[in-house]
Amino acid sequence: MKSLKKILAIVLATCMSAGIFAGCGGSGGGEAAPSESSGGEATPASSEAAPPASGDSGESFELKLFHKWPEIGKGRDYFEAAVAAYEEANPNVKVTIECVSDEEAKSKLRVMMGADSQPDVYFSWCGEFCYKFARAGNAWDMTEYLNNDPEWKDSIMPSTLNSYTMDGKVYGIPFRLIGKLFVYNKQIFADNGITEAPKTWDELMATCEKLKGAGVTPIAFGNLQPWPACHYITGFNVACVPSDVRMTDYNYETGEFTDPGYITALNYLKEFNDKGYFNNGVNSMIHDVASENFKAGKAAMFYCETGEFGGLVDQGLEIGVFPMPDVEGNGDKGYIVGAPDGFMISTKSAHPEAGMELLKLFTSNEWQSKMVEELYYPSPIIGVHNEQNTIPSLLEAMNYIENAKGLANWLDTDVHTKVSDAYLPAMQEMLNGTLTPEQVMEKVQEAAQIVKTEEAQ
Amino acid sequence: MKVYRDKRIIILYLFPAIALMALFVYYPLVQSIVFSLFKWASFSPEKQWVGFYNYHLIVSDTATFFTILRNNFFYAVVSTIFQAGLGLVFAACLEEKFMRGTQPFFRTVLFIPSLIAMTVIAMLWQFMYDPNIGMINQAIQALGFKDFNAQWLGDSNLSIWCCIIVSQWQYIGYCMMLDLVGIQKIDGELFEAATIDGATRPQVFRYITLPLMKESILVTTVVTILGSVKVFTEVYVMTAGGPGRSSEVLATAMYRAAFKNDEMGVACAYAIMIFVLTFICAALQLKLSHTGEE
Repeated sequence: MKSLKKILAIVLATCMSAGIFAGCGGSGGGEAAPSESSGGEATPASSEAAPPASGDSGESFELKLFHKWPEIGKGRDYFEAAVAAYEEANPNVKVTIECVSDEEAKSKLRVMMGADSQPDVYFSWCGEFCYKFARAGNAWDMTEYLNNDPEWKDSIMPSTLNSYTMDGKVYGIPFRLIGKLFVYNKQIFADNGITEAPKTWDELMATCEKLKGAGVTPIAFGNLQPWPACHYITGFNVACVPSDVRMTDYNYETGEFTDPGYITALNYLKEFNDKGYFNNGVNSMIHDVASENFKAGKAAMFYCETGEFGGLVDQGLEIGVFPMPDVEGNGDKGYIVGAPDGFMISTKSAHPEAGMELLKLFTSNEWQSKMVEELYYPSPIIGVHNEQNTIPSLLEAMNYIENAKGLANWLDTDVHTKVSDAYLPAMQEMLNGTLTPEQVMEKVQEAAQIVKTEEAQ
Repeated sequence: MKVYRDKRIIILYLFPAIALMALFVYYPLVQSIVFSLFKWASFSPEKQWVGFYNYHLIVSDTATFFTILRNNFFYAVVSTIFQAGLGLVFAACLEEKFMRGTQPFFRTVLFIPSLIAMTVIAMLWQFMYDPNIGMINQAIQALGFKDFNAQWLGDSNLSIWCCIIVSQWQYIGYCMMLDLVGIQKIDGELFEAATIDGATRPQVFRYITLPLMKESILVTTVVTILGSVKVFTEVYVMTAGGPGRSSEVLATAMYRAAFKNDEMGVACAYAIMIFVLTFICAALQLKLSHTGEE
């Protein structure tokens, strides 16, 4: 009896422990199998049958898409519809979509890029954010594919394509174009006898003073999560710092940030705050709450992205648009803060051509026009906007963007992340009055120095 | 039972549990230690040996590192006083005879906050702390302090305290529940005997409840102190460590290093620091309390 019990115990215990390792083995084998098979089939498919879409070969496969517009009824539905249209045209391709919101996308992308199961087509910001994936070998070089399809290439605004180009190679296709402009509540402006939107810095200051005098909060601003302040500084830096110096500083290998223009730029932001032109509690309020305050008529102006216009006009608010006026300084004038948002393709993708086909559909006139109409996003594709599909405020904004000398890419995605991680929180402290602009720049200089020495090793 | 004297059988029975622990606890721990000695980003396969540079990097930013440790220390002290201390007082009060009828009501009300997802709570409090539309400033202004205008989350001196308050509000009920169970386990005759001998209610609490609750108090203090070393969600959602670095704690600094700055090595170094701190705290508490000796 006893030995029987013993045997039973041994068997059960073995089963238990075997279960653990069976679990591990299973997942390991599961990972290995697809990568092996896809690797084996993909190489001939992509090298020999390059020009026609790999969808034509008839073999069925899966394509993973990652984007950052998870709102139901908005971005999510749009992408589902676009993907459905793609699947109908390519019945052998099954596209699976994954999406998380803006802030999560930044960290999720980084983690996914380290794993074997990278999405084939993924959203990415442009500039340094895109370049670091390219440097780590995670971005598929699109140059040749685009050159073989000049019609498509020429339909994209060159400046937006440029934002995804590193060392002459294209790594991303712009999907929407985001510019940062002031919107104002037409009703509040009219009530306070302001007939015209400010064009110069002095006019903007005078308008703010007038509104403040009348007891209206001039500008809604929420900087609890510290990125909105950096959008102001993005523009001010362009205007205050000579562009060659700025380019050298924004490059992590050579950044110093010693130009006095950076301090001038910070002082412009400080001026808004010190004169009381922002709402009370800028560092206690998230950007979304500031947006709600503007919508509720609690502030006259709001510095926001064109992508946010839809949310503002949905509630019947009458808004006008004007760009941030140029400030005095040694830098470039006539720039608008903004950048394209786009998609990149993974080097680990077995079917990069299929991914390109999908992106071509996203940037087709039909789907871009649908995007403009439904999501109110501005398009980086030439000739998409017209009076039928675009709301007036967006059309006005597009006009400013097209006539601008250039777009100034977001500071926080344009510089090395460690530099921006010093820059942004320090600006919060400047707005709180606990740091001076000079001290902010000292912190930035320190961070730039650390980055430089680390990368040199 | 001869079977329990057989070492092989004991080892056999322990094997599944140990294997699981090794796989999911000890292996990642060792790996974190190793990874903290490299410079690497999550999206790149390259790992560069840097020795203790990551630790040096954290410690050499003295001001920030001091703020981080100070914030975690405040968290631990306040949490011990309120959650472990006040929670026990609440539990003792609820066990008083005159509260017996209403005990279920208060028990539920105080316990509910700990059932709500932390992120939701943090966002609700974020609204309450809003200086313009938030409930707190409006309530104080309604009391007659018309010019009162605290920035709460936006004020470098207040932000960490705002987060600490939220944690106390949320978890005091949880600790109270643990203590309630402990009090209810105490033999009722002891209370009766003390009362007959003429002890006042505070005396009963001091000389009967407290000594017999030792184990339960140990559990709540260990849980709260470890919790305050590891605190992340409330701080991350409400202030993201700001303004500046004023409300940064170890876990948010770790997150920032890992997912904002692409410095996985530094993040691992923070993780090891959290581990060492929690380990020391737990070991000290277990040692000082002499549990299991009675």
